[in-house]
Amino acid sequence: MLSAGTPEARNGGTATAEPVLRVDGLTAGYGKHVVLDGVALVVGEGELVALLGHNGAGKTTALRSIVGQVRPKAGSIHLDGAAVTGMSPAVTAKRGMSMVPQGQGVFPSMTVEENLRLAAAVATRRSSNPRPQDEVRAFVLDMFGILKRRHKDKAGSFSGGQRQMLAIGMALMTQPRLMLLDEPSTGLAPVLVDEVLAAVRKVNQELGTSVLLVEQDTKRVLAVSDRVYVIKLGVPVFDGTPAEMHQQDWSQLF
Amino acid sequence: MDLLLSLAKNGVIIGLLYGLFAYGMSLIIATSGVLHFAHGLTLVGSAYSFWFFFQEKELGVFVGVLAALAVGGLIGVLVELVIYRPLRRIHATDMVFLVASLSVLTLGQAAIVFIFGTDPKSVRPNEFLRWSADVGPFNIRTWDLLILGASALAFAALYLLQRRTAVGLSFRAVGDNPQRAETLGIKLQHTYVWVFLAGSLVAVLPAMLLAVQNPVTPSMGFDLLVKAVIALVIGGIGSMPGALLGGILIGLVESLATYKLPTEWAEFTLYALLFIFVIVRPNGLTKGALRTA
Amino acid sequence: MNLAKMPRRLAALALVAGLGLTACGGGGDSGGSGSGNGAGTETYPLGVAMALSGANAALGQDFVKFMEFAVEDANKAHASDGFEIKMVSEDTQATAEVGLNALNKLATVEKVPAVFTAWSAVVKAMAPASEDLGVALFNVGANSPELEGAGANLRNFFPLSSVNVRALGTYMAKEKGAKKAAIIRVNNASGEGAADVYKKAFEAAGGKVVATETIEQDAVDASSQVSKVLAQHPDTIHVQPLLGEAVAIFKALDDQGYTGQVTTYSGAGEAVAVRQASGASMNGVTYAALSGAKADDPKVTALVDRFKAAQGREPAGLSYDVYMYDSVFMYADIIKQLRDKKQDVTGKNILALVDDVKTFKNLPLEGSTTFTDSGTVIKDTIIKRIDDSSANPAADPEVVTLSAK
Repeated sequence: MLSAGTPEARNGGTATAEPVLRVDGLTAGYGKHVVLDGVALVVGEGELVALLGHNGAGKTTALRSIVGQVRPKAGSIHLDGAAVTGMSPAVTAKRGMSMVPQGQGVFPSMTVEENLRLAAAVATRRSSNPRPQDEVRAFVLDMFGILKRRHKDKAGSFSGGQRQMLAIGMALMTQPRLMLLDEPSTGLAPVLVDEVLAAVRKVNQELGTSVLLVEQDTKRVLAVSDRVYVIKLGVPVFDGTPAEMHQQDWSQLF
Repeated sequence: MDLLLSLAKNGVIIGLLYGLFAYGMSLIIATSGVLHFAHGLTLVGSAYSFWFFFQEKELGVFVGVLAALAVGGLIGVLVELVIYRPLRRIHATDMVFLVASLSVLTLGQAAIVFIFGTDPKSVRPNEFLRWSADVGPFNIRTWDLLILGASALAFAALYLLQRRTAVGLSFRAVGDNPQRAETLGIKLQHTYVWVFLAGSLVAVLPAMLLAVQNPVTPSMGFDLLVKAVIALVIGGIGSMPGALLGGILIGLVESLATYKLPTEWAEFTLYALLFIFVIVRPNGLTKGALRTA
Repeated sequence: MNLAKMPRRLAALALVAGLGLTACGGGGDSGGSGSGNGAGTETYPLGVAMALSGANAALGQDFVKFMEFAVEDANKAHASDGFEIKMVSEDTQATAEVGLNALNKLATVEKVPAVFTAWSAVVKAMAPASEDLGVALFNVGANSPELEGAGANLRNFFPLSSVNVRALGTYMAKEKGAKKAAIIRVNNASGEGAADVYKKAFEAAGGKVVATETIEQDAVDASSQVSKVLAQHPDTIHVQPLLGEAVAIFKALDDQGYTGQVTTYSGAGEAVAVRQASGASMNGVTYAALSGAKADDPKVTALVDRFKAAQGREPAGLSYDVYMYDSVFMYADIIKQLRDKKQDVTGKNILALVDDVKTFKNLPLEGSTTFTDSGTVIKDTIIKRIDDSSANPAADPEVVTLSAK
């Protein structure tokens, strides 16, 4: 197995160091319709942070704004202390963000092998401690056995869960500073959701990759997260640890 | 029997030429989604360039080929940068792209008339090109071998490009899902430029093959453009193997149909085949790389 | 911008439809217009409809240039007669549809009494329309035998291929003793008409045409046509192409090692581009040229020099160009005679005069020409052989001259 990240990397998220991701006063929307209003969040080095909320709460818009698919109306986004507000997805990707979009995360006409190879090839490895590509590849294939068994098959022939695994694998091949997942559990059978979330946690712990996870399945997510944000109708309503979250009246949050 | 065999051979050879032209067009369509009719201009421009440097200036075949590649590649890249990129920025519809592409083709041909005039130019055939031999029932010409070689070269090069290289994989990724490609860190604008360059360079091969066989005229290759588009529809729009297969199929149909039918029916059988495909199997032989989703 | 958003069936159709657009693309650029009158001289418009864009533009632009020279020269020659000719040109793209538009515009907008045109398909389409419009239609460059008697207002100043192709067919069977002939022709009206004439002449002289194959205009390969024809083992093969596909035919005949006599007509035999692109594969081909003005005639060479000075290149179809040049002088002659008779220069009067006078003697290059009762002209046929395709066609040795009788 892989050794975990170096102690320096694991403990990077101390109070004095700049967090991996810092979002302040993020306001975004489509046309005149405001979907997000003043959202702030922080993902520290090596943290797994969940962003929760109901359907339509603005979670996906938040992710899309962070990676540059949606241009924010106000607010700022910093990656490792450098402003990336309003930059295009290709640029934020080069800076070290890797988004796993909902559902459409793989290239269906390409094989598993080619999907992974492309991801590795286009990335400029921004991880604080880049590893040899082969090592990451082996990690991904070990974690998701199905990818190893069917690595010559076209991604288009895969089920939703298998595609999600491949998409996560692709994101890892870029060795990102921050991996962003948009509702990876959508459309998956419960047993697969557990497998995918366990894999995300494993990546976070063994590779030391910082993660921002957007989800609806609150219970399952709390089990794997370090910290949690909840937004409701575009406005932040909770910020704390899973333990603190358990003490809240959830009906107020969702 | 001998006649049938030699008709089949003729069909395969001419089909490969159609397929070769369709091949570059297919690469461009699959990645950029643009119905790049101006590909015809790439063909004419590089044929003139080959004629000008090889025949007119007598700078040798090496310079002629290089000049053809340079001009062909340049036309493709310029059309992308000057026409398609601004259109993409304003989210123009397919119809706008189509009309723009056709306009570029027509304007470009007019520009060639302006520079070189309308009189046909000829690359004078030499002994190397005039060689031919009978092998069994087949008459094999230098031109046949050149077409075979060019097809093998183009197929191998693009196969390796699209499977082994990052830029080739990114062509396919952008063709599959441009948004996802972007979040992975692929710059779409760069990818489009590269794919227009690659597809246009492929078109230089049939351009030179035509230039050594037929007079070079501003409207040359129109026949080829029509056949290439039929090959694309039959082979599956956006499918690379489909483009070649479609080309060979129409070459064969066109040639073999004349075994029993008079030769003037060749074109008719071709359009009948196209009609059947459009109605019965609009996705083409192979499924094609494009989805309706 | 993405095809992926289009239903596939629609995308396929769009591709095909889009091509249709390019097929008939291109605009009709018009040449000179207007009708400025000099003091005391009357100006008569001459309508000229030629292919000025598209695949045949090379020839068409040559034609117009030679007619411009002729208008200049004829106006000088008739300066003392108190009139001048002004040419108005329109583009036909060598197609019937665009040609009809050109004719309509010339007749109704420019109000020309006569239209000079070429290309068999165009002339054929214009012939009935010219009756409706009341203009005199002169074919000055098309050779399909179908044009004989194709319309009451049509006069064929250019000799139809029936003249020299018929002579060629007869000659091959009778003089050269060919028993079996094959024909490879372009798939259009003039190809069909000429092939038919050849066949009739060849068979009337005791031979048999064993195969006729067609090829599309500008096709890039003729291997299949040649394979089919050679399977019939003909003694001679007559080739009746338009332009681009001619090269493919001569090359395929050479590649497949045909050793019998290959014949063609002057349009292919004298076309410099065809000769250059065909290279040595065209050596040994004989063709039927028209008598009359020859390329080595000093008057013709002077015109060619003038053309080269103006255009910076050789003319593409000299055998046609000489007729273009002469035709304008015929028109000037017609105008002069009508004026002398105090008649208006109208389409009707022009036609009546041509049918009445029949022979026009003041043609600078050819000397004179005579119309038959069916509105065509007759010429002697010269059979020439291509020994060196890279040489000027004027240098091709003459095999025999066949009298028109």
